[in-house]
Amino acid sequence: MKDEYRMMNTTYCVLKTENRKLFMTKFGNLQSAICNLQFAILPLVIFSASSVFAHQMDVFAKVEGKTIQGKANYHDGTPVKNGMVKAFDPFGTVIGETMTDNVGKFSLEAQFHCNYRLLVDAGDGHGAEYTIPAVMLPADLPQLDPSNASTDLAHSHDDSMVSHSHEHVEDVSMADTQHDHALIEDIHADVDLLQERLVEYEQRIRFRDILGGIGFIVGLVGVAYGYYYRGLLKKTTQLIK
Amino acid sequence: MHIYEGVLSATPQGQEILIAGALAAAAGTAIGLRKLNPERLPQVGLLSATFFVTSLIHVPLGPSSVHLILSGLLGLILGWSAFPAILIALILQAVLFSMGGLTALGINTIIMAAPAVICYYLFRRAVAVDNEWFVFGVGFASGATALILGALFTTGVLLAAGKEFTTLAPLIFAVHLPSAVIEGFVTGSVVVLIRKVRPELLDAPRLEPAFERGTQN
Repeated sequence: MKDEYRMMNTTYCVLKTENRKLFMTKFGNLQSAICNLQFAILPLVIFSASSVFAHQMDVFAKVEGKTIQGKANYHDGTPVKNGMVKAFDPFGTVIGETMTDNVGKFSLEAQFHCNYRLLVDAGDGHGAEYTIPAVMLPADLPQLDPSNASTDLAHSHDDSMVSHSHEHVEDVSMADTQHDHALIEDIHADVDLLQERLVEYEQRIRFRDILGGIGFIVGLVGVAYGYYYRGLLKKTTQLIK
Repeated sequence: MHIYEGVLSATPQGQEILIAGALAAAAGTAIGLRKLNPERLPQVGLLSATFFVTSLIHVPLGPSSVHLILSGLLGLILGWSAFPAILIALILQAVLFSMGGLTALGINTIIMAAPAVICYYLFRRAVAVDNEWFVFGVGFASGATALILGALFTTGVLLAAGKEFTTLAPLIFAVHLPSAVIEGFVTGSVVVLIRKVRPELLDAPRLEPAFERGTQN
């Protein structure tokens, strides 16, 4: 009897364990299914998140001495953090690389006297570019030689420093006026951009204000209604009493 | 149509007008609130919002731009309650869009709400007539009259405040005529629609479409 009981108990235990195993596998399946689902959803979420935050980007850069300083922002003012900044010469060769910092700023030493096309890649499919015209860069920088541009940076830099520094002396005043003109044009372009942005912003605010005004009126009607019905309710309760 | 802040406060007469306008607007609003049936509160709110929004939509017309005011429509539907509705909308316009101004609020309310009330007394019976074209005509007349009255009031107020005008009174009419026509058409169409869909808004019987009446008879 005892044995029988023990056997039964064992079978029960076995059954229980198997059940649990079954349950576990089922649960495991469920869990893995959830996991799979999560993995399936994750890209969707990320994709939608990136499309939600898919702001356009802006890059501004200026030259100070031989350093190109710039800032990359999304349209809403959020800085582009750790974005890859690549500088291209007019021939499409990479002539400089850096990263944006936590506030979206970056700086890059100019190596050549040529147009610098800066490409900022935020890494999430967003990019923007900005070109610094050669006239904005100091004239004593070496001219770009496409043949050795990417091969021997330092060498060409030193060489041209020596060879061009004397030749450019008489051109300095000319280059300065050009530089000023370019700077003024640049400022004009920036101001135009700011004005456009301001108009856009004003329109957005206007739309919000219209909605806000309508909301205010609806709220006011609600308050008036509530006030009226509270009075009505008091009167009714007094009547009932 | 809005009188802007600072236009009237420059002269002593202007200041008097501002104060008188504020008092008159307060009185009108008090009457409007007293006469307001609480059941009609949502309508007042809705029309206030309509007035608020339509004044902001400028449609280019010729050399200048016009915007709807719809004070004739407000008057026909709300009667004296057009005063609080217009006052609220004007406060919002002044605060959010710097249209008019807080000191000129009273006189602006009078300029736009008084024609509405006048139209209410002029046309409220006529609008209940059971003829679609007649109702449209009444709506047209109401919209146009309210706008021209508003323009007249504005001119009168500015004249009384000692403003000198280079343009003459007929010219002011000419300037406001296109807006009055547009306002008339919009008000007429809206009134006809209301008579067909929600006639109780105008305290009038439902306007049956012509073909239905034909089949009934």
